[in-house]
Amino acid sequence: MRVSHFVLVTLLTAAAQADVAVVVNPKAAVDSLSAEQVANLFLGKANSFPGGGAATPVEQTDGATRAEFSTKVLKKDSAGVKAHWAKMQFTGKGTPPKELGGSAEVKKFVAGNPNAIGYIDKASVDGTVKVVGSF
Amino acid sequence: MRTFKPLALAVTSALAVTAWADESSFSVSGFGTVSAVKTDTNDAQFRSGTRQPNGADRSVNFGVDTKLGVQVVGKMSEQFSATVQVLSQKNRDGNFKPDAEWAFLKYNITPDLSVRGGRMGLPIFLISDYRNVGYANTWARPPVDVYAQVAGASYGGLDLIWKMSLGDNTLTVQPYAGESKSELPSGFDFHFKKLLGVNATYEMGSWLFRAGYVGTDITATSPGLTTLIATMRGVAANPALPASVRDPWGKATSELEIKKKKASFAGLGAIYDDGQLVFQGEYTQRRTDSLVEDTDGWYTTLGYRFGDFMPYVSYADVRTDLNHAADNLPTPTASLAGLKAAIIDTKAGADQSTTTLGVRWNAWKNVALKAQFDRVETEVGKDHFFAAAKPGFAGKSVNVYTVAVDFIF
Repeated sequence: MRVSHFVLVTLLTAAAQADVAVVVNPKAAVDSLSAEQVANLFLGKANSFPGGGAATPVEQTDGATRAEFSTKVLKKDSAGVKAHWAKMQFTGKGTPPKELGGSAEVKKFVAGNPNAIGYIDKASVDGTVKVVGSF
Repeated sequence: MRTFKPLALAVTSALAVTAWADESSFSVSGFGTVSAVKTDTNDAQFRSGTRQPNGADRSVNFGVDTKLGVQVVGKMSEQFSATVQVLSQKNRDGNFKPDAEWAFLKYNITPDLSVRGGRMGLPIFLISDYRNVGYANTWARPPVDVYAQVAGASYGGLDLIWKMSLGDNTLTVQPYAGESKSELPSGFDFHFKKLLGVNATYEMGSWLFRAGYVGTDITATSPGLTTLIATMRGVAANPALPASVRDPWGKATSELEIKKKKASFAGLGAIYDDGQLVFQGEYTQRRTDSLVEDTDGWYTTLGYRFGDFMPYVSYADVRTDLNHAADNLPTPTASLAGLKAAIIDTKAGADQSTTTLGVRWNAWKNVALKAQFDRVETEVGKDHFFAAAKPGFAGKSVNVYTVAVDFIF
């Protein structure tokens, strides 16, 4: 019983710390992005990929994956992200990214849109998208 | 933010606009604050800016920070959008009549370069763009000592927003040009013409640095000012007085008159926010060649997030460089001595400091509650930003208590 308990704890810990994969369309020219570069795109501080080319970030609706992405990459809690977009939105400088409901929908959107950048649960990654960073 | 496709269709037909692309959308969003403010004195009234004719004293006042903004954005294509923001807040007449604070068209020339034209926020402070959005700010209101230095909050004109990626960092350059009108209580109207400014913002990880400068021609009129200047001109043109009296009066009149005078506003600011620790600071300089005196204002704020709670402390200060144009005017008669005293007494600056303690609580989704204590210290014989001050008020300290609810939708 001790062993299975240990296994369970390990699995739970692993699940709690599941990486978030930042993904782009396989045709995109970009291969790797730092957390800061991803944050710049998702916070509207930059509108194109570092090498050029328009970027269309796509957010997830509230949930575990979004919370993890916000904390690890955007370095903000949920209220912090909202306050940031209130600044951008009510000054006419930008609008928050479109929100999709979960990793599967984000993956589908990114696979079908050459400018898209999204993030998904690392376990959902497959050949339809290209990973440019894991956080 | 919600997107209303059916509304977009309705507006499309209403405006008889036929060429909207498939990506067209229409969105409505908004922000607001409801606050209750009281102080420990009835000798003067605390206000958030000089546009408010009155403010809070010992009895609770709900008008100091309370406001509602509704923003409508119509996106015609990837490149072209229209934004209207209607803001209701206490105006110089003391009512909450809504005003179209913003109404502009935006065109994205490239993803990183856009041009906007219309009525927009006057971007002279670190947070002047979102000074009204309480939810986006730490305090119950932007530090009055600094943000009340310039009454104008919006302008009509053009700007360019150019973003550059520099490795992991971004630089945004915003040149702008136009003109601005603002109305203060007692019929005091300011008009900024030939407004020309530029802001540079550098974002580096958790840091944001900003530098801004704007120059303008300033003209101001008010019944009192018109009478004062006309009376001074009368002295300068009075043939019964010798030239040794008339000439200095004429010179002082030209120096003090607020008519097509050069004015400028410059600011340096920084924000640090790593998700837990928040720092914000700003140093600003107001300069004019007129009765409106030169002022320097600065503040610094520190906050720390404990989950949904963020306690913060802040200190703000504004100092006036007094105008000496009337100091050495010759006064051969008692009535001229009285006029000179009246001119010197017409102060148009502020000397005060504010120490602030507060806490922000992200209480519900899209709603923040704030409780804030301010201690404002004024100076004997100097001006300040309070309204309806009784004689002898300058030099006193005032405690201000605020409870505010900020929301976005």
